Amino acid sequence: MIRLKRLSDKPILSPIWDHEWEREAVFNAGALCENGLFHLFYRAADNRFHLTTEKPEDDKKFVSSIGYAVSTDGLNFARFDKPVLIGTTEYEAWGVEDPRITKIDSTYYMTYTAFRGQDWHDYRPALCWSKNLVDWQGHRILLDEPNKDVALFPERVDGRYMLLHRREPDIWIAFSEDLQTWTDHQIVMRTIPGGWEETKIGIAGPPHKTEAGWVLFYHAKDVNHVYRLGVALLDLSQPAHVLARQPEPILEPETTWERHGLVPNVVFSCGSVEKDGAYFVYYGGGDSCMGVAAVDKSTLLYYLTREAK
Amino acid sequence: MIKLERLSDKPVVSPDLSQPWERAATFNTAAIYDNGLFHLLYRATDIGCHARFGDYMNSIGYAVSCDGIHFMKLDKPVLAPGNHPQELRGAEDGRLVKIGDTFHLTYTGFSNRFDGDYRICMATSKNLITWERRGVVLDEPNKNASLFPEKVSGKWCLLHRRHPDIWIAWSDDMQNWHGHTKILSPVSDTWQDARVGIAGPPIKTPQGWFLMYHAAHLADNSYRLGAALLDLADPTKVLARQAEPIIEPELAWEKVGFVPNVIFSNGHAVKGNEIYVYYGGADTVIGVAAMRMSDIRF
Repeated sequence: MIRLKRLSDKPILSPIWDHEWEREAVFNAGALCENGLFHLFYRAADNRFHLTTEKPEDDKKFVSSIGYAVSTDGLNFARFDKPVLIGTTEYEAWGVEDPRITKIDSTYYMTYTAFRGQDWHDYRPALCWSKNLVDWQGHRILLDEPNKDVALFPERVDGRYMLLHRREPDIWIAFSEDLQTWTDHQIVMRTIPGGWEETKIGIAGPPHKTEAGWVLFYHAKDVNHVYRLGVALLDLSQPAHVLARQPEPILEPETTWERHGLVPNVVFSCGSVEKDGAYFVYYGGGDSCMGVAAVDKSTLLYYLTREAK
Repeated sequence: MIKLERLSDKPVVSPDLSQPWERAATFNTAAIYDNGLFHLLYRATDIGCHARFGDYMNSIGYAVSCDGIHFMKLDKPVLAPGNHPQELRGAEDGRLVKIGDTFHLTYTGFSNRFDGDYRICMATSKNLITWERRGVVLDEPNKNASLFPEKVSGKWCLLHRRHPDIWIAWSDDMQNWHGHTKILSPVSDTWQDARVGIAGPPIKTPQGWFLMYHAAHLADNSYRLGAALLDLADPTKVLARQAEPIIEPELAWEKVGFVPNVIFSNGHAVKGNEIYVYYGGADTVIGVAAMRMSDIRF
């Protein structure tokens, strides 16, 4: 069975009270390994979440920004003192959430959730792009529907970009030739009743290409609102086809800071990187801080391909 | 006459009180425009950067900007003091050039184990954040050094400062430096009568290498920037040198700080026709002033 092993029993990123924009929470980071560095793009919140009101209320407003951190070892990060991306459009009035980073050719793409906050479902998946990871352009709505947990595949198949997304409660895929018009929407993976992935599922970060297929980490929520991580293997040329899916979670809330936070009992990932034969999976703990856990790539593929048979 | 025009009447980088390594001063900065961004590698100190404040420690911090004016800073230094024999008190005053895909930073390694315990050192990087130290470049008390951004007449070329003048040296391998030649000296009874040293790396233009430099004034130890033009093929030849400074301390934060009345530059960023010159104000904060490539006329 595949399990992630925590590389640190403490958070690797925590909120910084002196920085208003990241005062209450830093979590759900997109990740990539590039040019000798680990890069994290993390969601930061300036205020506690008040999620129990009927609608988002301005006097309880919390705004999300994207912060940027770099590291040589994947564990010890240096952070910038200002956000690298903030909400600028009308649809980003309550900020930008849950970034996923994909490099396609020489361009970096960040998919994230734009939250307008007129009601709790007033969000859209959005896209920015950059050549240098600092100057991000775009703020373009990707799908004009309430949808989140969206990431691009790192390459095109048959000339088409591929997007994983989430129409509740399942993981979907869509295709596009221009990153604007998305077609052929279909379900990739469904929730499974009676267990840890009963209520809804959504991807973690972009999938990783391997000789056996696309490795997809994903999150799942159960009836008790506990978020865990799982892993699946998608067919290389037909990624809507699931080759394998481990029945057990690979990580679940265990440490204090995963079980207690602004939202309790959450491990939630927006990105993982492959480095030295392992996957480093970055995850938010309790919607408040960042952790990292890893798994050996060949071990993971051994179990997943065995599952597939 | 060449004059720099300030792009901001406020500092663009200031110390962060919450970071012990840069809580007192952020000043003299290397700079480069690369891949659509303005990058700074700035000197930072924990306490005032003068012996009268105590044994200050130097670090090199990293800041980046999309527009050259609004910067975000990393919360940890990219070159920290200690650990290296020539950097017990840290790295000072970096100058940055990109050669091929490798960034070369020349800086002053300061240890203060004895009088004159400072040396020109070099480090290289592919990403501006992780640096590999290459050690001492010239084993003599020396500072204010920069490589040319490319070979000159088939050799690597280094500007440096043997007090009180600007010198040039040559090398085939970036390790052994020879042909040391004095090229620019102080001018008696002027704003540049005490000592001179380069600002950032020379900028290649059709007329010659455009060299900005700093100069100290005997009367009050004030620092200004000047400009000169060096021959393209033989930069030991000074083709022109402007009599007037291109910028001098005027604003409050250029006149008042840990070392008063100082404008000191060790870096600039060239974006198209624009040259953004970054400078330390009063050895405490960083400002930016600009000119155009087309303004280089002597």
